[in-house]
Amino acid sequence: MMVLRVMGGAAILGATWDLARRAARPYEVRVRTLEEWQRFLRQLMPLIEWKRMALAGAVTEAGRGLTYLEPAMGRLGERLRDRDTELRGAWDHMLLSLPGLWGEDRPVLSELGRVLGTSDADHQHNHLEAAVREVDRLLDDARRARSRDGRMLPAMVGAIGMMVVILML
Amino acid sequence: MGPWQYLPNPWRQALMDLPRDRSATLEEIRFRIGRPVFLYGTGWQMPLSHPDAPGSVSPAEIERVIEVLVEHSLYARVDELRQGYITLPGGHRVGIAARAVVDGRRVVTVRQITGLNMRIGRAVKGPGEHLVHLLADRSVEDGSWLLVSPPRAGKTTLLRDVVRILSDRGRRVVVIDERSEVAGFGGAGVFGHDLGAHTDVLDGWPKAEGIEAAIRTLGPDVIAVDELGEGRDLEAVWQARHSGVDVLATVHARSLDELKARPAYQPLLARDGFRAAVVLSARPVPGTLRELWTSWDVT
Repeated sequence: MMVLRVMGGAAILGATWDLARRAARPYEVRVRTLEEWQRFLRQLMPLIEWKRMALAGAVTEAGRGLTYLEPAMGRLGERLRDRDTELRGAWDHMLLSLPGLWGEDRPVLSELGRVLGTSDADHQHNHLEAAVREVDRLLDDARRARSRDGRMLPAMVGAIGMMVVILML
Repeated sequence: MGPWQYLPNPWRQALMDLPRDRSATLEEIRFRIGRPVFLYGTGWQMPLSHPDAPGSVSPAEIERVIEVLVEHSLYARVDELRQGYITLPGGHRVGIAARAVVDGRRVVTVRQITGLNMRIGRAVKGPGEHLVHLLADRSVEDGSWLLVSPPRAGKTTLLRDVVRILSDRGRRVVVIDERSEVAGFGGAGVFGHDLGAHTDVLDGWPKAEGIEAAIRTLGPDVIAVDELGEGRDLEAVWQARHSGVDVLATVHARSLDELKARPAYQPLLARDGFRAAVVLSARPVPGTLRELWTSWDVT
């Protein structure tokens, strides 16, 4: 009987650990995605301002090495090479395909898609600088949310699981 | 590849569906706000008519066409736009009718685009041979020649062919291609036109700076320049001539008399800056030779 209880307790602990991990995941993925956006924008700047690379190539190049953004930017670059693609639509579609972004993140990044490629290099620099500042702000929020809710939720779930196990035993 | 390949639909499809005799002789495609798209060919003109294409061009449509032509990357083409054109791979030039935004005397950018003129750049092999033989018969065998004509009379096409011929004869030619129109630059190592085996291209270089750089670094026998201006361009031509380099150039003028009336060109023609000048006419066909002058005619 005791063996069954110990096995049940272990199963409950395993399940609560998995549940806690799942609860924390959106916070973690959001932080990682925004960190990638930060790096992406910093890599995009010289490609646009200095190399004056066409946007399709620039987004592909700037996305290289980024876990979440590389495939999404690669697909966007491919779509932009098709002359019937409308940039704003393709950009918003790319944002929808990205994991980890929250409701408040998308309008900021969507706005960048509206101004990208529509002005000279100086104005593009200003737009990209503004986007970097906004992403920095979102990233600060995301990190705060992760340390506040993203750690509290798993702790609560874990504590409940532990209580159930103690009561069971 | 025709320039319509760079257009979005429905225009691309409409142009691809043109009868073969029309597309083979098509020279210009003109978009004007509120008007039908018009096609201009050798000896003909007509509105573009296609079931999928709108009857007239809207401002939003012209913006869309420009956005696609610059590959959603206006920042990469602003310098060209300031000068009123963009060049497509293959050397096709798109002239832009728009309102200029001016800072002092300098055009900063353009806005409110009202019209586009896509000019098809074609490589025609052959007319250069005739000219080279003609000048050889007159004992003007170096390459310091000036090709003179009003717009759309075939100057650039002839320049391209003469460059190819001189290059394939073993002369080291450097083309200063400020507007990417002569070589049809389409990315590193990709050129729309055959300019011969011994040709280097300085793509996007302003003419004067390009000529100086070519003399300093590329050791040319001949420097080819399209649409020579005055001032610094002509100073650079003198520099090249004094360095022992031949200059093959084109310039806008209707006749030799008109060209000779320009004070900046008088010394170039009188003192061996150019050893021959050829005036071309658009009639009956572009590239028709109308006048020929050589430095021997001066003495």
